[in-house]
Amino acid sequence: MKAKKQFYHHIVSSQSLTLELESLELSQNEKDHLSKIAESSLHYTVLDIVLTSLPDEDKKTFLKHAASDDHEKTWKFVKDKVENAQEKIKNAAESLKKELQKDIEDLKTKA
Amino acid sequence: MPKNSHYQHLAEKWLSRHGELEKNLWSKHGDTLHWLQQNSAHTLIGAVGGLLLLTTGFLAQGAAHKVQAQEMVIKPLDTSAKLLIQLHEKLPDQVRPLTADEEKEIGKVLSDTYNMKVSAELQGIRLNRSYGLIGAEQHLYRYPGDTLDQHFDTAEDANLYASSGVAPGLGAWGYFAPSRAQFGKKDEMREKYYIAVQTFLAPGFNEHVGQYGLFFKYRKMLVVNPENGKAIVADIADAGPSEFTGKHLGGSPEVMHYLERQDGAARGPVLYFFIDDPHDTIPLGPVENI
Repeated sequence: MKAKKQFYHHIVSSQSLTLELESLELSQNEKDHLSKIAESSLHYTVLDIVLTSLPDEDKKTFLKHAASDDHEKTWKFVKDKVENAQEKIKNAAESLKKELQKDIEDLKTKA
Repeated sequence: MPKNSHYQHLAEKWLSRHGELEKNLWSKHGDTLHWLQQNSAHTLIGAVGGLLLLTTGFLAQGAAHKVQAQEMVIKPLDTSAKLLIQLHEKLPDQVRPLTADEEKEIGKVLSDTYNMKVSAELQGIRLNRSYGLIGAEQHLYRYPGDTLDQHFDTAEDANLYASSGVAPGLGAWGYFAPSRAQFGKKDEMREKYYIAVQTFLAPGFNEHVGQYGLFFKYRKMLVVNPENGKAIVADIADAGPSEFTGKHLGGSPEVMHYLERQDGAARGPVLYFFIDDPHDTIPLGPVENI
């Protein structure tokens, strides 16, 4: 399943989760659905960390850039306006991914 | 734990977490998100695409979006939501002709979703494109002596569709029936759910005008609005629009109304694929209950 490209996809990938899901006995539709929830959860997390880190006057500009799907421009804006943007986004996303991975691991243990 | 409950368990847990993330986002940044929603409802799809993929209906819900989003999220994806997700992933950001691979993939999605065989190419013939901007057409005269008020069975229909008027000329194949006496239900449906496509731009058209004319005449196509999943079985009854209009096909007033598409600055794209229906078993009109 191809996820919609986002401005942070060069630093955040859900591929490891997709691979983890492959290890469970799930139908393709079920895997797709779970992957979509994971992608969407990561997306919320990244939007939250960026919006939280931006001053009010820059939030609208950020959303306008993101809405235009111009990923390069959006990423440049974020990098310019948010201190340690890459690290902040990566940490927030990794933290969520760990939680999701743990849920999968727990399932395997109980199986 | 039984294997078949793995999905259930994960889906419930992840959706619950997703709901919390969503609630948090709207609670902290609702003002900015509302601003974008109000200022650019269309582009919000791109702005928070991941978010909206699971809450497809919430853009249309206006102020109720938070509740709606939560409700949508805790339900398994229905067919319509799955379709929107798949189209969102497979369609390009720009409205451009699809590649052969894209047409094949999207044709399969549409065939599976709507339970009919559709493709961008049929019997070796294809149009110039299968994804393009649709504009509004007028009604067409159906038989000699036809008038606009004879087009509508109910006052409601007249109220909805009469304002579009009737095109001064006939459709590409003339009248739908040679006389009022010979005008039947099939002819009525053909005018009601017609589209105009750029037959003259189809590859090979100039070399095979006669053959292509026969092929295109009342050929059924599945027309889909990829932004709401609404689909209609339409027939080709006219050629157009001209290239300079910037539009790629036209829809009858009834087609445009059902697809929720508009002309002018608000015009938007549709997918249009040939339906393989050799025995003429698929009725023209809206495709419901997917």
